[in-house]
Amino acid sequence: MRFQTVKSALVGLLGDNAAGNFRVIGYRGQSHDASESTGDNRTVQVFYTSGDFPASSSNRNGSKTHDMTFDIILTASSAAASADLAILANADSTARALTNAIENIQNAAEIADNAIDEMISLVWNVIMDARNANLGITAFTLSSRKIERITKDATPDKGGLVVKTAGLTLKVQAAEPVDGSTGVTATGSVTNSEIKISDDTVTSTGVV
Amino acid sequence: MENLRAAIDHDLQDGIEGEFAQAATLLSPDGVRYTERGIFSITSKRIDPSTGETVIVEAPVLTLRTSSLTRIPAAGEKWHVFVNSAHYVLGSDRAPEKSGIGFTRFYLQSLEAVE
Repeated sequence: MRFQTVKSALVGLLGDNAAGNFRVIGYRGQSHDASESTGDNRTVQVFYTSGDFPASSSNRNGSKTHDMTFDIILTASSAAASADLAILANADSTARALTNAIENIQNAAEIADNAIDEMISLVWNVIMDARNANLGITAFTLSSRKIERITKDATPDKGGLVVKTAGLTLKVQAAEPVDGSTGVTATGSVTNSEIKISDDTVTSTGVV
Repeated sequence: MENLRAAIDHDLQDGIEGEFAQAATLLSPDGVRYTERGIFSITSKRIDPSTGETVIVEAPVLTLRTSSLTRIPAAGEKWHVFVNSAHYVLGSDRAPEKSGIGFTRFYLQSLEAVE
């Protein structure tokens, strides 16, 4: 179906425009360590989640209007807080410089939150760019594409390893042609049997 | 003869500042350094709430004898801690946990240089 084309086009489009800011990965069912998605290793995944076929705008025969919903999942994390260590580690630093450096320590949660915000902006701008209106597929295949909602996890984070996720809900409308495929015809099974006749040689017979 | 509280404090001194102790330098928000000795552990066991599995997580905890501290970090204050050749920050995450028998646990967060 056409949503598969749209999904792979989305993955390709985001991958081409990542410019070292994030990685576009395929399906990942297994949980992973926070340190795998820190810094520029922030990850993007694309899932087709649902499809609506409005009855009023579909033909009885022929192609149907397909309102596709894609979830674009963003993951960013931070493994540590950050500070000006050159000042903090220096025994000759003045109390004023030390006070300032301590005051400016950025928490891991704050770093991860900023990273995911930046990523939402990057991905949103790639998809909504007028040059990407067709998401890289042949023009006029898609009737519309828009990001309907952005969600972000709001769980308070504790500790030095902080994982933040965000989701962008993308709605794409396209005509879904019915290609009439009837599936693959199974090949007939082959049964080998041996018939043993006394005082004779063994004969193998193949029956299809 | 010393009272029970003093005896506990002596025991804590043996346990926390004994042969397994490590030196820790605490830098207060107003730029004063304090050198202490205490027990430092870098990992701890947690239950992963999504799977119920016990996992080992990096969660540095420094345990110090409360009576050995010149100044006790208050909740909300940011302190820089240097222990075991690594930098940590105290107070950005979880308030220090003061026990009734005289030791305080400080929950630290790893600190990296600003890029």
